[in-house]
Amino acid sequence: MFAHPSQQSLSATICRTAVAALARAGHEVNLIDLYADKFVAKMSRDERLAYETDSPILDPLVGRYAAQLALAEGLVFIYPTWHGSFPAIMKGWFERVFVPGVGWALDPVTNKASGGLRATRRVVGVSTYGSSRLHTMRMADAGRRVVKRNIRFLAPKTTCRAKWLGLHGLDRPNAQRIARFLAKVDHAMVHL
Amino acid sequence: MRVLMVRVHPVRESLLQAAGDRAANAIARAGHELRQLDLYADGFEPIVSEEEWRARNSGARLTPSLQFYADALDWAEHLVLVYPTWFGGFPAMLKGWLDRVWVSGVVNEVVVGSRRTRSRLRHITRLTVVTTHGGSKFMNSLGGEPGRRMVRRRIRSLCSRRCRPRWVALYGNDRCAPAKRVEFLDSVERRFAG
Repeated sequence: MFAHPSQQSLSATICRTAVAALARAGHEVNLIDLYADKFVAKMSRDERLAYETDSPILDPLVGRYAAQLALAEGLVFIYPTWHGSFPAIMKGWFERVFVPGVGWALDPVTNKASGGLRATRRVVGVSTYGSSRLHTMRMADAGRRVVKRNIRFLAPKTTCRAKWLGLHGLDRPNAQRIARFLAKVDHAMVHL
Repeated sequence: MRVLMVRVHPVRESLLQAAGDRAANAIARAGHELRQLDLYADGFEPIVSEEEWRARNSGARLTPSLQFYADALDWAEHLVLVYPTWFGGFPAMLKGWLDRVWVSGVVNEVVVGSRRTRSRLRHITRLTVVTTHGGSKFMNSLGGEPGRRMVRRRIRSLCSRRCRPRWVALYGNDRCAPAKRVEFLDSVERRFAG
């Protein structure tokens, strides 16, 4: 999953690096570029009302994403951290796609919820930050928490691991650190 | 006190919008000045477009059509956020409002002769959140409550140093008794009375 408005951004470079590394390692890659797909971030009134019914998916594009999610063994999220969290387009993707039946399912007998990402064995978040690592920690790093906890919780496999790669301090960019980070992303994807 | 209430919920007849109404009534009764923003009713677009991102990268500040929201922030002394907690935090709509409106020049400015920035929202002395969580308090604390952290740290750090965020939350809304919802609405009203 990739979310950045510009293909000339560092996030886009990271995404291309990750896709190339995954392909080189022999993985099958399915890239969802939310801006290219013109994804609508806001959950509509009709969708909110349908959320609690048996057919919560109204938009065919969301249905396509849900089908891809059900098959995914690894999930990689690449986005810039804005205001400590996801860009709205990616936050909206979670809200609209991870509906009951996709993100989790209620067991009709026990009435207990269980995670819907049955095939998922790896969850990786890759993000860029304008501020320093210290400042990010002080501001609680909400996006990282959602990826490492909320998303990870939706994968029932106990062997599923979540990993986080963050590049901090881009308000004062440093070409050497960026190159090092790209190498790190490449390594993480090859050894997924 | 000048109170700015930001509401975010697509369904007007939802519990959360009802909580917003109760809060608005209580605020008006207590004699405060109230301004309300309903992002869904406004048809606000939460996505930062490519042009906007480019413009901001080359030094432009707020997109002119959003000046209205920046003025509301300048005006407010008490900020009230009314939103459902989805996926641990702010709905995309509210996150997009931060992404597009809470930009450099609106929420902070560079100090002359230095690289440091200074907040422009220090006049906000009160911050209150009214929210509903589908899951239980326990499940939410396992998730680490990213939305709550975002308010407590990120947003609070821009407000007045005396500002202590106040929280009115309903947990377990997915399967709670109607009486608990009534009690939630009452507690919202009590919180804003006086």
